[in-house]
Amino acid sequence: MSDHITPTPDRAGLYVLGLLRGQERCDFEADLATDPALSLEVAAWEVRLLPLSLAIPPVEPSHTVWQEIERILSPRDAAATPLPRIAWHRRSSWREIWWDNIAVWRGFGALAAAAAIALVVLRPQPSAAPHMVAVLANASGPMFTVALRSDGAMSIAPVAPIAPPAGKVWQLWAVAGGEKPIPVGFVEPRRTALPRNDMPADMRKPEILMAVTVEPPGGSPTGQPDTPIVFSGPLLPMGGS
Amino acid sequence: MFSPQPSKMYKLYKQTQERRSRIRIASVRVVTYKMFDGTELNWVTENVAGMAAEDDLTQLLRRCAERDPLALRALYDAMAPTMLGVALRLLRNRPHAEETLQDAFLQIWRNADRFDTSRGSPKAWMIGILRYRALDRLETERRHTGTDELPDVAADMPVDIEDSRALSSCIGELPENWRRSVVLSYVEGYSHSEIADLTKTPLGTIKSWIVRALDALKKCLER
Repeated sequence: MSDHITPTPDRAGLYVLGLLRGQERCDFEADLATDPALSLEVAAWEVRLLPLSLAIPPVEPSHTVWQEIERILSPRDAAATPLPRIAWHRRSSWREIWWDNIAVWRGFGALAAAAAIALVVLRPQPSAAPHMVAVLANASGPMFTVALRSDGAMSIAPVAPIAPPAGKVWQLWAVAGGEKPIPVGFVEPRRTALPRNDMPADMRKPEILMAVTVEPPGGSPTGQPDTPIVFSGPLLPMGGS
Repeated sequence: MFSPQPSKMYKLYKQTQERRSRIRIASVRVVTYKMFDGTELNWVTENVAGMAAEDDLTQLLRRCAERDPLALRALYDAMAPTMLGVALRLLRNRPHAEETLQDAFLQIWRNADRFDTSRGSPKAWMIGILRYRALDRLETERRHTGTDELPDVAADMPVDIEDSRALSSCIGELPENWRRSVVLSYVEGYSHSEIADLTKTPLGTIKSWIVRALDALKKCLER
């Protein structure tokens, strides 16, 4: 450590310390949004300075803080905007209440908009948030959730542990009204990520039906679903996107 | 697996707890939680700051990304007291600090899928989300109130940072003036000029101390 030569100011370090203010901070955050190396530097500083945060005496929050978080995330309140609900022909479990209420998704969209600038800056992955979602259900309730990003990448997750019949696979289809189903890929019993080109661009729109059929390994030999739909649900837009 | 059944989460927490109790005795409590849907869950928890293991937090963040509200509650229990402590030091106002904490957790829930283990620790990520929100608030408020009414915190400086975890790290190796400047900015949320006022030190000197402190910290941690 030299006492005479002051090193070049480390902007990432100053930013994490909270010392970039006003325009300086705005400029830095603009750079951060487009410079992955800079955001790595910020992450490194966040870790370097973490011991200082952990040394601050913890303070127990009032119980109202969690209540408020719960209230905001709770579908019961989000339902203030009357929106069509998907009917499930049986008593609702919390997962259904959670998943089937589009107001929740809209709520997330609004939150995302509110936090958008800071987030893009902090974790610059602009297309990571789902653009549309679908809940694939059968008569006994929701089985899978589908999140479709604007770039076409898709993530499919089972709502509860479930597996296809022995020796069979689940094949996923996109169906536009009156059109032949388009094969999109395969659904696994675990969370599955489908690459961005598997879902045709012209099918990435609301009300396209996402449907799953049970097929032999490798998928339907005819290129069309050969068996009845076991789960399905329409794509629904995320609020604010 | 999409999301754990409560029993599995309970087991995960129990294992965590056992691992922790081997390190030091923590204050453990069993709490019954009512979840979003009204179901109840008995949870083992403790509120010793910084005790939650990083890999458990990473798992919980992953489950939040999969929209498991139980995981959010578990994260909240593990981190909310630490985070509120951080927010209170920055904002010095409990209602504002609690609002910031709440916003931070909503943001954590919304963006859990953006947490990338290769880029940092879950604690640093969560505390970061809270800090940037608190700093936003601080900037907005300072603009309104000005800096004239700053309390003389230099008097009650020992920031409880004389904690072994911090001292054993590189921060503890910094010269006293440098470390104090770092603490006044990072922990207390003061700007360069506020620190200069508080410590009756020329602004240029403060800026230089901080730049040198950052440089020394970086070198120390690369050793």
